[in-house]
Amino acid sequence: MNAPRGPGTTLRRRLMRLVLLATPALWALSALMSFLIARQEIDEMFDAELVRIAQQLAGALPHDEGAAAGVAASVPLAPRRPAIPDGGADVKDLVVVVWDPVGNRLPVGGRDGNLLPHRPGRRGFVDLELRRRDWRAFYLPTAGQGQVAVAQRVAERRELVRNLAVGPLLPWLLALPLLLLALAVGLERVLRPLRRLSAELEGRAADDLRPLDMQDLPADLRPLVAATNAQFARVATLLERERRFTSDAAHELRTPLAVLQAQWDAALLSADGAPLPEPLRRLGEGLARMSRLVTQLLLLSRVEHRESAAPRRPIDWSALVGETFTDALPLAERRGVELACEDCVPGTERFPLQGDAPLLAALLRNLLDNALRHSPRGGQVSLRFGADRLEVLDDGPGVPSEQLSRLGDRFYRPPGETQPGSGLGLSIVRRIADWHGLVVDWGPREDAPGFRVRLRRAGAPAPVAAEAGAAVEAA
Amino acid sequence: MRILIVEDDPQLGEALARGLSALGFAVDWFGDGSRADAALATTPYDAIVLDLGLPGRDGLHWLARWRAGAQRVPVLILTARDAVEQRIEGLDAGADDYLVKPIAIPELAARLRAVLRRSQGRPEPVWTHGALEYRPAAKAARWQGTPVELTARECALLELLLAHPQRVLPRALIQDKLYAFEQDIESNALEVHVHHLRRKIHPKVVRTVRGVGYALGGVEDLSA
Repeated sequence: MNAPRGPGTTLRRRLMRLVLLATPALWALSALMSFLIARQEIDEMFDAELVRIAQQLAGALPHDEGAAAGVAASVPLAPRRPAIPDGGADVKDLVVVVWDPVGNRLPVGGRDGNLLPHRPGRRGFVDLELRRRDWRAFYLPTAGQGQVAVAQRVAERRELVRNLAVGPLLPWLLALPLLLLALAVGLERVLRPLRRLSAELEGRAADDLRPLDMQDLPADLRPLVAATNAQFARVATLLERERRFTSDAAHELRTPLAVLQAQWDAALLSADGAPLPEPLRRLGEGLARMSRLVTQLLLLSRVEHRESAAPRRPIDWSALVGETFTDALPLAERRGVELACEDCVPGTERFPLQGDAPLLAALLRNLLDNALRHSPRGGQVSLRFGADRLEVLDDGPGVPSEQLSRLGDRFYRPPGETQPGSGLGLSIVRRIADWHGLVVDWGPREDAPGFRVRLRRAGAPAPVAAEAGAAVEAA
Repeated sequence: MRILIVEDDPQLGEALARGLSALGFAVDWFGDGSRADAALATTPYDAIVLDLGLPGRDGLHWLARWRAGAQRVPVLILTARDAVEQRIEGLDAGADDYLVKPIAIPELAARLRAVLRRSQGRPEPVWTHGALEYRPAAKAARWQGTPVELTARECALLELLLAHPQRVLPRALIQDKLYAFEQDIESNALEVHVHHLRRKIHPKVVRTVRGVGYALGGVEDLSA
């Protein structure tokens, strides 16, 4: 594994950085090499020139060294420029000295000749320092055993080498920003499919497992996307298997429960209204609780596996309220509680929502059921619509504030709870609300004694009094 | 009333048959579709309670076949399959109601009666609800054996409530059914009819669900 990189490090940035560092390094290397080559070439050329001048001079000298002065004076040395392409080498940096066999320096052209040491019998190149400057000299004995020396300042050569080697480097340096710019633009284009891909993945819901589009993808990305799609398919299969298990479990649990319920009812109906012995009555209550628990569990598991991409339709609250009130009416009758809907005038646009009607019906059923079970006889349970909210209100004793936050936990039942229940109702409510982008909160009523559960759009401002309730944000 | 039950679970089928018999229905119970189909061909049933997960061909197959054969008898699906899609599939196949197991037998009986009342085939001749009797053919109502004089509108309202004994009917729906072709309905017309029904029959014959609509009073309240 690579060491973790900073969050801002993208492939693009890494590539740019690499180019930014590598290009000048490569150029520096190539400049160094051309410098070395140029230096060698120029050294050879200048050396050859020194040799040529020395030989010409030596050849022009008569064997009689005494006459040398005259001859030497006739050698057209000084005005001649060395045959060097650059031409920048100055003749004044060239020194020519002729010694007679005894070692006397003959008056030949050129200056500084007195600095050059006499080295009798020496033949070849010598590097010297004269007046704190580097020189290169060529010594050549003459036929009459005098000596000729030609010397040139080294700086002359070095300057030429610099001009030859470094000169081309400047345009390269100027080209570097252009190269980086071209690279950035090119990468921007090349990486576009990658960004499109990440945007698509980012915008997806957790359970959206449709394969990614492989069209218009560069060949390098295809294997990655194909592998991702294959993984999606595997996860989808897994989810599907789990869903099927839920469905199978539903069937397997419901059938024996239905048998128990039907046998119980049949026995009861055959008994012709005779009062039941207490243990049998308890058995019946247990059966009802069991049915309810299983139904709630299956509903919760179904809600939790609900695909977020499942279809949504505009909700007809009027039909939904009619349906759920129908379901709640028997319990309301039994408990002597009135059911009412406030601001339910048909035709008005109240709490418009796109969603899944059966799920919302389950949500309302759970809330009404809870409220009915906790309302005193003669009390009222009401459903109240607002433009961006829906509330279920009762006038029961409510829940102590320290237990409010635990209410939505699965299987949590407040201490002292006397009503039969699964402890799943609010978990179900919360999941269904989540799925619809709604936020659920609950707490004491503001307008009267009692308990209130409120659904509102995520993002809608909560009223000030809501701090009394335990807000449960949709995750 | 004669009911055909198609349910392959012997314990469930037996209990349903026994329970519905105790509630006054004549019940024939079969464990598979083909025997039920054969019985249906020879016996005039008033309604069918159909399980979906049957051995061999499943319940939807038989339902589709009966509907294709112009068999109009009301069918009530009773199944463990509770997904919404399955419910829609069942209703689309021609079922009159869709119930998910487990269900209390009195509830099943009430749904059967409701389905029978709404049935296009041979509607129940006398609808009873506690001490209330109603003959849809004659549009005649009796309370505790005594005839009740009702206007046509009141009669229609009572019939609508009796046809949906388990439901809270939204105001808008009742108004649509009662005043189908009329333009200007006085806003309190419905309240007036409800008031009359309560005065003529029993204060609890119609329950008001404030803000939503009306529901038929409970059997217990109307048994006196």
